[in-house]
Amino acid sequence: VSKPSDLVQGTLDLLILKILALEPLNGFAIGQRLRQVSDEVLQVSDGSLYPALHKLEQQGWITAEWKLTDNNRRAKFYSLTRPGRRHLDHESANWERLSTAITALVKLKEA
Amino acid sequence: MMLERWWLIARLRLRSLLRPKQIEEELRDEIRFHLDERTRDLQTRGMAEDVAANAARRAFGGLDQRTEECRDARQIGPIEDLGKDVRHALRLMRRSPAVTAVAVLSLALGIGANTAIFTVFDALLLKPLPVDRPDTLRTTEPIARIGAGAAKKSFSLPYEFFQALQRDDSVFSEVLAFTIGNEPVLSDGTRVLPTTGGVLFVSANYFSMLKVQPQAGRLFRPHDGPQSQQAVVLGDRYWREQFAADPNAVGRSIHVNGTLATIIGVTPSEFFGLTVGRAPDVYMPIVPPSPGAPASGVQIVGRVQPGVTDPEARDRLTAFLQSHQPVATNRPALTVEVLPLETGLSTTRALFGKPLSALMAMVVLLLVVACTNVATILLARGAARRVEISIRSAIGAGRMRLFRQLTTEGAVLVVCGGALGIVLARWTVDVLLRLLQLVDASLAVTTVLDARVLLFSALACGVAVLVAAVAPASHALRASSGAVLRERSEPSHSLRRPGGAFVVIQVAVSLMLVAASGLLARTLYSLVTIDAGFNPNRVAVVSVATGARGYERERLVQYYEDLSVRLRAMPGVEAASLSQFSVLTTARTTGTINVPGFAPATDDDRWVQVYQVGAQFLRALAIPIVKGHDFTDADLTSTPTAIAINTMVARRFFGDENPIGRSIFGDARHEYRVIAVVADGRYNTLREANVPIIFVPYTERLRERMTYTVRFSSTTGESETAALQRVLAEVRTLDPLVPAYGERLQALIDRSLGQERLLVVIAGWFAAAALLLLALGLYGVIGFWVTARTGEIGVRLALGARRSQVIWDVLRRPAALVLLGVTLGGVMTLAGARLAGSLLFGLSPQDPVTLATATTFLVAVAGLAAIVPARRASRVDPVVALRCD
Repeated sequence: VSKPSDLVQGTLDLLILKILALEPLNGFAIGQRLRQVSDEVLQVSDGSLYPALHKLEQQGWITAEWKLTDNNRRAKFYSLTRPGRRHLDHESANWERLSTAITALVKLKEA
Repeated sequence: MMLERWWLIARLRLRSLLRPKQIEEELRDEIRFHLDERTRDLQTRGMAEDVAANAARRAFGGLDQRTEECRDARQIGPIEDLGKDVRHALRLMRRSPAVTAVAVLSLALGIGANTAIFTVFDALLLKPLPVDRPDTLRTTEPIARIGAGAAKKSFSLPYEFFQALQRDDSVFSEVLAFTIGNEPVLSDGTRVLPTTGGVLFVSANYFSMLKVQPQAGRLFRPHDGPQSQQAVVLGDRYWREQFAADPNAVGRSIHVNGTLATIIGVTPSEFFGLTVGRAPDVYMPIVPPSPGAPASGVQIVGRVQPGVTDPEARDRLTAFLQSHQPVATNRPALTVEVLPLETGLSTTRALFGKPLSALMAMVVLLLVVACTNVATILLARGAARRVEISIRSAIGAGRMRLFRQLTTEGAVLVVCGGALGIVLARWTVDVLLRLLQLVDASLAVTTVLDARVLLFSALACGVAVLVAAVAPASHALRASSGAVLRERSEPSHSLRRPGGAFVVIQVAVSLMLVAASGLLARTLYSLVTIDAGFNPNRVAVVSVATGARGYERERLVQYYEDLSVRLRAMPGVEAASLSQFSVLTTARTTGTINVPGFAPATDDDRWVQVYQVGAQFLRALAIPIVKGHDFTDADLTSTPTAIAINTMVARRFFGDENPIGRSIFGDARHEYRVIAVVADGRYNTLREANVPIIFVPYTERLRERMTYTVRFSSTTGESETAALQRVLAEVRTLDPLVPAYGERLQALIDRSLGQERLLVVIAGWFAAAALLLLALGLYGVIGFWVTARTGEIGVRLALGARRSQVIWDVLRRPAALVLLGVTLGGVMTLAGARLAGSLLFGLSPQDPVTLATATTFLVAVAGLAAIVPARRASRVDPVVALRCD
């Protein structure tokens, strides 16, 4: 997926927030984590991650800070803000409802 | 939570705006870090370094595009654009400094004048009093309706009534009383302290009810017991002027009318009592009248009970007063009117309300002229820039974007002009107050550049932006729509020469201003040249305050007569007399008279104005005597008492009969005998004619302040000022402890016309400014039109057109516009002048001569401004003109 569709874009925001809810990470690490947790199913191109991150930052959901990485390089680390955490709760609840509905719909079709 | 999020966002946006470079660097670093990490990652999987770097770049996708997307996330585009527009506008302004200067100065003039006039207008007329809950305060005005006519006389209420109201809270929850002290003499024991604001006697709860806090010492308190010594509170201004704002002034003593009093505190600077435009110098507690003493009047102010309407309050107070009226007097029944006090009492409002309203209206018109002037200039420039605008729009600038850019250009001019205007206003306000103080020396106003004033200025700027920025911008865009680029060489008749409507408005409004100042100037001229019924030349008026001496009756008469004799004996003095006040002051005394056999149509007909005078009074003022003779020393003591009447009284009470030697009865059937009939005169104000006036001996009722009127011979060659100084010296020689103030009667007359003079001066400035702006605007706009048509004019000249034809052709449109504007302005002047009717004197608001003169003058100025660019057009060199296209 080079340019995420609208559905995936919304999902991408949710995934980023979810990942950052666990611990503050830099952009590269977020990409890696995304791949790991989705078993390489969700392949977000490196480039499209950054506009998403910047947008989330400008919306006040996440905040950034320059810190040193494990191997002593300066990197921009993102972390969830308090409003961001609430937003994540709200969005994941939404997602669950939506996915339950879709799953039900898809199963219906199979039957 | 919401707030926290907005705070985060605001901080980021602000940072994006203020630190654009740092943010860019961070973005680059962030992406470089990513690429490095990815490269390293790929290298660990066995790629060569350069291959890995390329792969990392590929994996990232369009690097520039992604970076731009990150920038877009910041969403500060509109603000950045604004910054660019402002910079562009400033560049344009620098490129044509003359146009910029004219535009900025026009707007500074318009906005500055508006701010200044509004500051004073607001302080005197609109602003709520700086006291606790001013909206709940009510003033009481007892009014007696005399006869069936509209004649009203207001009295003050008895102190006992105030005491009764304090005990009763059915109408007012709290009530205070105050009364203005009569001509106090203040001294610090060694010298007399000059006072302009006088003494205000206040009830003990005055300050606490209004919740006024002292800036030094303390103020009166409701339950202050009797003091061992009289206590006074100083007004802020007096404290600054006479005590150099010395905090140690508190505790010192001053003499008030001879009694020693201790200064206990100072009122805060924003407090001036309840009368706008006045600031008492000294506050003292009201002394309750001792039983049996004549009732002394006070002004009563209450805080109305919630739920009580003003008509209810009026009815209750009236009933209450009638049940409390101590003894039946011969006065008609009083009604107690209850009036809102939110903006203060209105003595200055009566004096300055109308002139200031007129100035406010005129200054708004001036702003319209200034804005339309800038609008025409910008429109013309917009027309000259049509090509630039079309090119911009052809290469993809959105219409909205272009509109915003053009509006910003105008708005930047307005902001510069507005800022300059507000700075100028600070200074103008001082000048304006000085001018007002020439009219009313005791005027005290604190004007501050507060939020109200700034809001008004912002409003004025808003109007300016709308007229001077938005209108030209939308016009320029409309004009540039379509195939302007192709249109360049089309004949100019099809070109839209914008600005016509603005020229018309500017001419119309300027005409209103010029006509208004003309009407006011002719009013002043009528007043200056009017026959007042007395001759003010070579006359000095000197008032003496004998109250400082506390003389008994006989000693007082002795003093007045001694002074009269001394003044009459001075060389060069033709006549000297005294009266209770000078002519043309606001003071007046009234009374009623009866003549046997005269049945008045209404009670009002019996009211006359009373002048208490000494011997030689008629001669001293050169009042023409129709019949009879001037007061002599013998007339001061004769029985029945001597009386002089004016023609109006003679005609009303005696018809065609000869009044000399006839009897007139005053209050309590006191008998007078008529000794003279004098011509009617304008003794109160020069505007007021037909007042019934009687003159009686001053000894009838002695007063502690009298005014001497001294006429000098014209043959001595001595200046009036020198003569006045001699009189003052003579007064001081007789008794140095009696304070005396004097001036030339002519100076007093000039001062009494101060209001009119002030209006003429300011309206004149406004008119001159409007004409100057009009001339600059016309000059500029015609200049631009000529430039736009240079090519066409060149062709016509080359084809043999005469220069006069070209001039006429250039002038045709401006001439039509000016004529249209003059017509419109004439109609508006005729309609609007009626509102100013009461300010005028001796001419009709629709005076045709003034309007015609103003029109001629304006057309002449417009013609001068137009002819210069028109002549330039006729001198276009065809060859040059054709080549330039």
